[in-house]
Amino acid sequence: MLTIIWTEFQKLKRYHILLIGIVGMTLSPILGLVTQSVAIEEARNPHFDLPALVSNTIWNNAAIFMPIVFTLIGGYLIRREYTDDTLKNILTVPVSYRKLLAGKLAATGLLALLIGLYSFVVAIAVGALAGLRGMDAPAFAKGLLQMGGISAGVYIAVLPLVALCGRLPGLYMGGSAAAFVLGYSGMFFKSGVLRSIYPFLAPFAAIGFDTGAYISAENAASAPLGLASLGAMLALAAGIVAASGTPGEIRTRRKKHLLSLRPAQRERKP
Amino acid sequence: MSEYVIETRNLTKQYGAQKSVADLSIHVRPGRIYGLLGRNGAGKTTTMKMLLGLTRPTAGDITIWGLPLRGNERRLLPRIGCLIESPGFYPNLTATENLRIFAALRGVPERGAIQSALARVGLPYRDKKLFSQYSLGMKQRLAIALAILHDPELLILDEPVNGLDPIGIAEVRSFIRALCAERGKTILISSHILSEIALLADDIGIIDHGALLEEESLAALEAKSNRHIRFTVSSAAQAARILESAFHETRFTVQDEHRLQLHALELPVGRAVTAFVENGLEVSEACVCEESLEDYFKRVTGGEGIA
Repeated sequence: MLTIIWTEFQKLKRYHILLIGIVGMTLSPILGLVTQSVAIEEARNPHFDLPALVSNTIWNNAAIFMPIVFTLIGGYLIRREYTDDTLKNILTVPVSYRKLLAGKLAATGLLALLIGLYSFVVAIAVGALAGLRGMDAPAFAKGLLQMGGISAGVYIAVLPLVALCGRLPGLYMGGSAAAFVLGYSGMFFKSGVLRSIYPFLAPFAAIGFDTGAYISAENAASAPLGLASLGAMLALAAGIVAASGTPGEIRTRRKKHLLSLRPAQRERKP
Repeated sequence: MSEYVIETRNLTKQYGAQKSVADLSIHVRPGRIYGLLGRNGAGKTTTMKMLLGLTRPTAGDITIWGLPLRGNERRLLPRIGCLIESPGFYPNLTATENLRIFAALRGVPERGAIQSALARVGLPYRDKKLFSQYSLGMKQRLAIALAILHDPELLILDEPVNGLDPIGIAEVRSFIRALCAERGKTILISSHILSEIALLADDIGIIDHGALLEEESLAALEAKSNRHIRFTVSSAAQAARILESAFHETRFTVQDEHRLQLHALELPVGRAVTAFVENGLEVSEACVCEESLEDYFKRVTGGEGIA
């Protein structure tokens, strides 16, 4: 499994899909800062410091950027084996399709954590450039833990969608759009129970992140319910992977037969 | 221990109502090159995919080194190198980077194996050129390098010279021959180019519409090709009577009014011509004719020849 994960990282070299994640995660803290600057006086946070910026970034990441970025990257990692016609080379090693899929999902998970870490670093940099207060070690540690937790949580929330891409490789664009809609819809859940069990909000409940500043919550979310919801997503994804046997018919790209034909034969070809 | 490296029995692959491969029984002997010859769409690639477990047969059995393929993939596939259809690699990586990935998956000790595989197909090690920038011929060479990367005992190569230039074809041909002759590899190779198969293979299987029409050694196939002496004379009927009376020979075919085919190759042409002339016939042509492998292929497939 470690070898598969290592090879997945090797395959990402010079791969532009990661730019989407980098751009999204760079925009997130900037968006948080800009929103604060342009907000009307009543909506403005009078104590906008680094922890507030990090929290803002975490919220923007989880609600807008992470679901689509993680699904897009995970789905693309799976789909490329079909589009690059490399699946036949892997299956004849032999590496089972199930193992390959599990390796790809694990690699996506590691990427999700790295993207979260990157986002945290950018948030600190933006905060420092903006001259925000609260630049201390406890704030860094709390922010880093929360960012890591939210990255892992959102990754688990989108995991079934990404795993489905393994069964239906063409799904990844639609899956990414669905992940975006599902992530964004979380803003409209006000009940504590709903916010705890809805997979895209469950990470907040699980890490004890106060969403009160972003949603007019009716009551508090429950951490155990949040963890249970994420556990259910994990189990669902594992079920999808377990059901993903080796595709019965590997479609390989056809050869350019005409290149090796004589001109007369080429003319005969339809 | 099986006599054959690959043996299939009544291998069939059906897509809907159409049989892509029908009751195919091939026998690949160890240390030999087996050429699977057939037109495009004859079922060669489907057969090879079934041999590699990439496609499930509808019916029939596959045994490799005496073991059924199904259920023994983890034991058998690591001993096989393959090239199926077009070369499939990651376009954003170089040749070395691509091979490094598959070397890791196969557990091949990296550096020496990659360098040696690339050298054998004439590609540079650690070249900065990406796979997406490769020509079709270079891609094909890289695919062959991947097939031999782990030093397999059996190679299954689907049209390996496709897209190569004439010099490349000759290089790959001699390389494949050397793998078999010097290193004792067993090679199953498919092609729709008859001359390629004739130059490479020891044994040939002719496949058409999914069915195996003929399976013989190249020498046996060449012996089967039809050889005869053709005479063009003023009267083929009279020439036939002369052959019967003067030489007691009945192994001939009268083609038309003037042409006759004599299948008794041991009869000296000069004596026959002299006999015809002495009996008042005009002889305008006498030659030994041989049916080429392509003619033979046309005859057994009942259609047009192939390249």
